Amino acid sequence: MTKSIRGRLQWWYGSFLLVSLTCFGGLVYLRADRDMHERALRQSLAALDDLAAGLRASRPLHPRDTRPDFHSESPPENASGQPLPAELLFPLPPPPLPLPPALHRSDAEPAGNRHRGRLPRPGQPDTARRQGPPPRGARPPLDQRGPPDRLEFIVWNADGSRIMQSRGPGAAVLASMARPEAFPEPLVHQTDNALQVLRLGPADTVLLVHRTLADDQAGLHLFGGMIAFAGGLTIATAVLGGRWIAGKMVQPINGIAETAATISVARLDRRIENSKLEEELVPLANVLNQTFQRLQQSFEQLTQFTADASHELRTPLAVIQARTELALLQPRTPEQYQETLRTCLQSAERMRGLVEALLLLARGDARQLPCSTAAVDLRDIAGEACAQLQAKAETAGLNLELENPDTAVTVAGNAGLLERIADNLISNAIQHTPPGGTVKIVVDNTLAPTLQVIDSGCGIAAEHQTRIFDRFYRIDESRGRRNGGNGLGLAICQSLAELHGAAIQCHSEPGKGSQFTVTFPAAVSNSTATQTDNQRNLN
Amino acid sequence: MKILVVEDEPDLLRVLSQALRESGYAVDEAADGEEGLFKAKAWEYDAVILDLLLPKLNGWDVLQNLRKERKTPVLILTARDSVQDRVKGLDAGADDYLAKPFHLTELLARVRALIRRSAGLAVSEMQVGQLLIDTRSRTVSRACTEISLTPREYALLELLALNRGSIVTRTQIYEHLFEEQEESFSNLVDVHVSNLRRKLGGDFITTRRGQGYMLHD
Repeated sequence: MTKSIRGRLQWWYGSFLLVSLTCFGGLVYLRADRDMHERALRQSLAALDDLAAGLRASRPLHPRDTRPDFHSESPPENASGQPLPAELLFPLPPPPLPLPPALHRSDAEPAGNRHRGRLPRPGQPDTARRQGPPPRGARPPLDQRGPPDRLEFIVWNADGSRIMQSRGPGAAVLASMARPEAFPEPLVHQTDNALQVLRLGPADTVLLVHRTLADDQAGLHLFGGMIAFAGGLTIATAVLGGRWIAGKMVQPINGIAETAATISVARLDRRIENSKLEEELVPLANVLNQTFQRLQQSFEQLTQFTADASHELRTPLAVIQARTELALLQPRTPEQYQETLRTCLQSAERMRGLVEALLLLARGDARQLPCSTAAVDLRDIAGEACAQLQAKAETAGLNLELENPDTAVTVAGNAGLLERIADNLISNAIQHTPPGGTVKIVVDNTLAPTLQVIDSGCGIAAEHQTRIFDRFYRIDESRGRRNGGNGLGLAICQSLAELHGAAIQCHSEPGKGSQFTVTFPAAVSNSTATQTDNQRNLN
Repeated sequence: MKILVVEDEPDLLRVLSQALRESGYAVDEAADGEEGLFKAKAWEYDAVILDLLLPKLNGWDVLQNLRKERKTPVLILTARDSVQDRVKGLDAGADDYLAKPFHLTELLARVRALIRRSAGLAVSEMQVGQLLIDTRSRTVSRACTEISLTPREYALLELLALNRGSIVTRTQIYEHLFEEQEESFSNLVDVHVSNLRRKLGGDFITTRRGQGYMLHD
C-alpha cells in the first residue's frame, strides 16, 4: 500500500465506500429481484384465477362435455397486474371446433397485429372483434396498453388434450408440454427466465400460465447497471473529493515541513507558527518548536564553549608568537633569549593544561573516563591532595587543615579522578583565600560519604554561585588568569563528581568564605569497606 | 609618540610594551579596563591598544566612555575574532581591529598607520623643507644624507613634524615622549631639542618662549 497519508486516506475511504455501496446496491437489487418474482407470481396467479373464472363464466361446464366452445386468447394482465375484465378476455363467440387448425392459422398472423395474445378468427376482420361488449370505464383498449404480454397459457382437458393455448411469442416452449398428472395446487415451477403456475380449473381442466421473465430480468439488469453506475460515480466523486480534502488536510503538515526545512544552523531562531494551525497539529508544532529550542540552546552553549576554548588557547598562542617575533626582530643578548624562551614555555604549559582540561571534560561528557568501581577511601584521597598542595598553601601564607574520621569513608570510584576533584577544590580555595587564612578539608561519613573544602576566603556573591560550575565562567577574569586558572577547574570537578554519582554544592558568604561539599552516594557494602581496611592494614 | 596598551594578560602586555618601545614609542600599560579608561582619559595618547575581555570594565565599555571625551585612535587587539565582534568593536568607535594571535610586525604597521591617519597623512613619508622623515623606517634624511638620531630625538622630530606650523607645548612633548614611570627632568625636553637642532642644522625649530616649540617648513 502507498506510504502517503493522502493515498492511504483515499484508499480506505474508497474501500469503505465501495463495500458499503456494494452492500446497499446488492440489497436493493435483491429486493428488486424478489419484488419482480413476487409480482410475476401474483400476476400469474391472478391470470390463472381470471382464466378459471372466464372458463366458468363463459360456458358452464358440464362434466360430460368439457369441450370449450370458444377460443380463448387472453391477455390476462395489464400493466398494473390486475385481471382483465372477462369480456375482454373472451370477446369472441365460441369458435367452431376443432380448435387446432385455427390455432395453427393464427401463427400466420401478420406481424402488424400488435395484440399478439389474440387469435383472430379466420376470415373475420380485425374490426369485428370490437363488436363484442365495449370496454368499461376509462380503461383504454388493450391494443394501446403497456408492454407486450409476457403471459402464455394452456388449458388442458381432463383427457390431456388442449382446450386452449395462447399463441404469444413465448408459447413455443409450451408446445411440447403435456398435462401433468397430479400436482399440489398451485404448482409453481420456476426456470431461469420463466415462471409456470399450474392449477386445476373447472371440470377437471388443468390450467397453466407461463410467465416469461426475460423482459423483467432485462429491466432488472438495467436497474442493476444503473445502481452500479451510480455507485461507481459516487465512489469516483468521493475519492476525488477525498483526495482534495486529504490534500487540504495534509497542507499544514507540508507547511510545517517547509518551515522546519528552513531552520538551519544559521537560522536556529526560527519557529513554526502555530497560531494558525489546526488544533490537531498544534501539539506536533509545539513538540518541534521545543526541540528546536533545545537544539538552539545546545548549539549556543557549544558555540560559546568553542569560543571560550578558542579564546583561552589564542591568548597563550599570541604570547608565544609575539614573543618569538619580537626576539627575532633584532639580535638579542642571551638573557633576553632566555626570557623569551621562559615566556614561551609558560604559555605552552598553560596551553597544555587547557588542552588536558578540555580533553578531560570531553571524555567526561562522552562517559569515556575510566570510572572504575573500586572501593576508595576518601581519607586517602584528601590526605594525598593535601600533601601535594601543602607547599602551595605555605607559599600563599595559608594554613592547610585536614580533618579525618577514625573509620574508613569508602566510596566506589577511580582514585585518580577523585584526587583530581579534591586537588581542584583545594587549589581553588588556596587561590581565593588571602594570606593568613585557613583552608580546611573535612572528610565525613555521618549521613553519606562527603568531602568538604572550607576556606576563609573572599566568598562568592550569590549571583555567581549558580554559575561557578559553568565552563570558562570566571567571577574575576584577571585573578583567575593571573593564577594560571583556565576557568575549567570547577566544571571539571562537577563533571568528575557526576561521573561518580556524587553532587557538589557550594555554600558561600561574601567576605566570610566558601564551603564546597562533595556528597557521594551511600557507602558501598561493609564487606568491601572492611576489605580495603584490611588491605590498608596489610600495606 | 606614546601608546597605551590595555591588556590583562601579563605576558602579552610585557611583549607588546617591549615591542612598541623598541619601535621608539613611549608605552603606558594598563592591566584592566578601569585603569585603561582612566589613563586614556587623563593623557593624550597617540594610540591605544585595547583588549576586549578585561577585568572590571570590558573593552567595549572602555571605548564607549573614552569616545565621549577623546578621539584617540584605538586598535582593538582581542582573541574574539568573529565578524560580529569586529563589527561591534569598529562601530563602538575603534579605528582598527586585530585578532589574536597576531603578527607583531603587522601590529606595529597598523599602529603606524593609525597615528599617520590621525595626523591626516596619506603616506608614511613626510617632507619638511629639505628634511625627509620616513615614519616606517624611522629615519630622517636631509638632501639624501641620512641624519642619525636617537629614538627619543626622532620621536620629538616626528611629533613636531606632525604638528608643523603650530606650537607644540612642553607638556605635550612630555605627554607624547615620556612614559609615566620615567623620571623626567624639566630640562630634559630642552636637552633633546638642542641636540635635535644641532643635528638637523639650520633653523627648523623655533622656540616660543613660555609656549613651546614649532617646526617650520
